[in-house]
Amino acid sequence: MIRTEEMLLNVGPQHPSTHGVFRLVVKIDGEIIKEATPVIGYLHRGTEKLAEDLQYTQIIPYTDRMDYLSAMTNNYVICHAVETMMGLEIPERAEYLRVLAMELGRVASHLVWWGTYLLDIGAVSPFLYAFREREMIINLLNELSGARLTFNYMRVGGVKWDAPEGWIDKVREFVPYMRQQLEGYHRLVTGNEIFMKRVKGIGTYTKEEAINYSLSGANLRCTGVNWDLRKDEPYSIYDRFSFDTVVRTGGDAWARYECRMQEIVESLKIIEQAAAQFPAEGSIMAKVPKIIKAPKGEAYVRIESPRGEIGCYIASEGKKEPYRLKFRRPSFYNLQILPKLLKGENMANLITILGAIDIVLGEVDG
Amino acid sequence: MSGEKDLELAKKKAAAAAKAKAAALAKMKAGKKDSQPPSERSTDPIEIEVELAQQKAEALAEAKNAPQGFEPEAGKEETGNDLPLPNPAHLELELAKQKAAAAARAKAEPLADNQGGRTASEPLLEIERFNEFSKPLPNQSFADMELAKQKASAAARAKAAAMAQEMAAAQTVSLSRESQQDTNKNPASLPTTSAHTEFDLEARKAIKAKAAELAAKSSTFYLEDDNTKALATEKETASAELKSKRAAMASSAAEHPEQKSEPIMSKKAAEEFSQLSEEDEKAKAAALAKQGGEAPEGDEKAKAIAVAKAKAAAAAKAKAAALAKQGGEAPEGDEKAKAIAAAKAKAAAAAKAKAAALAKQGGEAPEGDEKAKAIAAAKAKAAAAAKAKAAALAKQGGEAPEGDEKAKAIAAAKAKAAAAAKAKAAALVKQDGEAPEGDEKAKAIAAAKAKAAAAAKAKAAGAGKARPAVEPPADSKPSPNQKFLDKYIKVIEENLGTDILAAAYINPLSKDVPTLEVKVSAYYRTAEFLKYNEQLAFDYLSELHGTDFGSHFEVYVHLYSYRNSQSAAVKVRVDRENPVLPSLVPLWQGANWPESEAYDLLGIQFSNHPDLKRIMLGEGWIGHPLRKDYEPYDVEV
Repeated sequence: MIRTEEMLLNVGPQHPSTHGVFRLVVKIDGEIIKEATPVIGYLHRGTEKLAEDLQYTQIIPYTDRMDYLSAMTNNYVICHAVETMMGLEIPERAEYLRVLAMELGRVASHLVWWGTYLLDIGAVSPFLYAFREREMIINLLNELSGARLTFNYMRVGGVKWDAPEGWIDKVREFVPYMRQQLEGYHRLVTGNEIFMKRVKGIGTYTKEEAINYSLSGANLRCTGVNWDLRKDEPYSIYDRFSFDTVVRTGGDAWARYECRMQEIVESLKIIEQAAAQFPAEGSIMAKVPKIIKAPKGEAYVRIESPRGEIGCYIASEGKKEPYRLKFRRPSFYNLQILPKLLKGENMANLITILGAIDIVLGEVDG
Repeated sequence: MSGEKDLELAKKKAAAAAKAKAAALAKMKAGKKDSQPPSERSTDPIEIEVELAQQKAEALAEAKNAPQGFEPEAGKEETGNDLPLPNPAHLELELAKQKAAAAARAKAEPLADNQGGRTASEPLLEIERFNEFSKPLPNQSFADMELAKQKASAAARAKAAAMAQEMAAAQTVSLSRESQQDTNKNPASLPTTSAHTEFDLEARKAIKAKAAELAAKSSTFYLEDDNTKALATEKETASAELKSKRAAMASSAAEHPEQKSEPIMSKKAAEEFSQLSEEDEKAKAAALAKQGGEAPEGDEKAKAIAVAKAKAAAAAKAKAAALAKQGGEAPEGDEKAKAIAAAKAKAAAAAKAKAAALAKQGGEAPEGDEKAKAIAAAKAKAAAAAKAKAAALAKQGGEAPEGDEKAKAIAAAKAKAAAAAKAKAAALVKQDGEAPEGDEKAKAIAAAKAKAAAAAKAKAAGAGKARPAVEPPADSKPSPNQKFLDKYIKVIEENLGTDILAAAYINPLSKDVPTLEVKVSAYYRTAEFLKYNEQLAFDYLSELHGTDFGSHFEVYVHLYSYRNSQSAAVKVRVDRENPVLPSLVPLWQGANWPESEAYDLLGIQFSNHPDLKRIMLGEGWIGHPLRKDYEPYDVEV
């Protein structure tokens, strides 16, 4: 009779495949995971507490550091919350710049995910391709905002900087290039037998589970839920663009992969249309008071970030600082399902499953 | 002697052949490297082919001329076959071998990594299109690559090449089949093989069909009950409205966002904040007056008019009656407009222009009027269902006199250019029922802006109106969500009784979300009901967090129903001294970590929570940082 023994295995917090400081305590029986307990908080910076002493504009840089792979959407969500409370109408040009910035950010974010995910499961080269294209986006956003990752670009009422000369043309040129590269990505990875074997049927959950666990973004849409806030609760000027909500029904890592890859295509559609419609002139800033004060009351807004539904709750006393600021951080919510997915899985699938959720630790920990 | 020579020749020949092979390989590799930049990559496979062909041709020529001379530099590239072999047949064999090896390699590589080195005879795959990626990357299967390589280096190279070719073809076919299956399963599945475009087309068709279907069914994704359809149309209308609103905004020349920068506030929120500022009584009075949702005067205001409160209430009733009769806006607006305009004629002029422009937009004016009435009506109904009719009445009109008084106060402070303003206001009144309202609003805000002292009051007064003036569709009717709120209230009260909700209102600051304030005793019951009731079906918990309001904690839960495409905010007050609340995890697993976070940062205990822990700060932390009275604990201090 063979005597078996359960073993506790510690993964992280410093582990490259967690993409940050994330720790998992895994109880394994041989190769099989009996139980996995996530330990988070290593990157908690108390943004919400700090924000209570900051003016709204001063909070914006803090949002850059939550989901640092798509800081533009974070910038937007707090501005959008304050603007919603104040009832501001944003100038066209600013809205277009915001949408362009956010969608470029979404493409960049998905590229990072694609590259690192494949790196996680053993393919090194896609990472290099993904980062080559992502670098082009970063450069575009750098031209726009003066920063590569922590943009601090948006303001309550508009954006900080206008597009430099020729920027829109560069964006226009980027779209077909990116489409072409994307096809190459598919040639490179999609359909690869090893890759398919590693992601198909792995980390599967149902539509009901996804909803019950408050998943959002590709993690939700991969189960067949046709839900994209850009389409279903349009904010900014997203109702002006024609694009599709990407839905898959598999609910496994492969479906999430498909969703994200196709979302790049949809984002490119939006970028293309926004660049075509981009107003030649116009203000980039609404007329707002020098010191922004959200009116008394509370508001909760949610928008679609690359990782899912990012929300911002503000309770205001009518002062220049929020009384309470809360971010609904999609990675934090999405990660909750991990222990459930890992239970009974093979140890080798741990990274595949974790990677497919697409978390950013800065966002998980707030 | 001749034997020796032969031996030497044979050696040289072997060495040369080896070198030639190495050179060819190096070339191919170099070709690969060169192929990295996107612009150059595409030529790569063709180059290799050409090279191979050249080699062959040269070799053949050389073989023919073989007896003619011996090349000392035989080891060089491309001259590797220039050996003066006495036996051309021998050479031919060698060449055939080389060719086979090259072919095998070329064959094996596209299979393994999309490398485009193929012989001319091979039918073209679609690979050329993707030659940018013709890199040795781990596509297809490593095992296959390995296998193909082994075979290529085997003795029967030609055979191996043929085999590899067959395998490549077979694999491509099988892969494409597989992907086709996928595509069939998931209509918009990503293209996986060279047969791309077809799948793409198919997928697109499927998506479109699906989209059409979905459009018919609204964006809800499952369950096709009648509700859904009705909601879909509503949703469409709403979005159409949004669009038209934007168009209207774009066309109206002037954009003064500050005009609408002071939206309506919810009475409850107002109440809480008032408490915070320790003006409970006054604030409550103000909040009551605000319940009409029309004029959220701030605490300062409440303070200022506290003395005149009773009088104001009386006046309010009178005014409310007047308002109810007709577009009572005019008289009221008139007074206010006058008074406030007096405060700042200059600012008013600009504002008027704006208001006039807005009024011209048409449709908006009567809407505003209707809205006012409708809101009042709806509010009264809701309030009646909830509890206080009397309060609602007072509220309905309460704002008018208040605004009046405030306006007067401002007027007293600044009585200048009153006549001009009056005349203008009157003219505007004639133009449109609503115009003066917008006017007065605009003025009020302008005045507020100009005068720091009056700012708070004027803003508070103007806020309620500023919004409808500038955003007609959003507020010119009772909120589009009012009917949902009414439904929620109705369903809850029918099933759970009337002692459930502490308040229920539309929160106009938060995209008109229907907000239910639940009594703590009924919190879990209500949540359960909200989730499982067929008519409500809030299956998604979007957000849960707590806030410290000084006198109490409040937990805010944002729910969404995918079936009904409806949001609801649920709020519950928790006793600050004994902050215990039932956990929602049994209903929504998604509440797990957020509740832990609320526990960690605010110290709210969630009973029945499966794993309540200090999720962010760690178990050793002392205190709850998001409490307003939190003092950081430092061992060294």
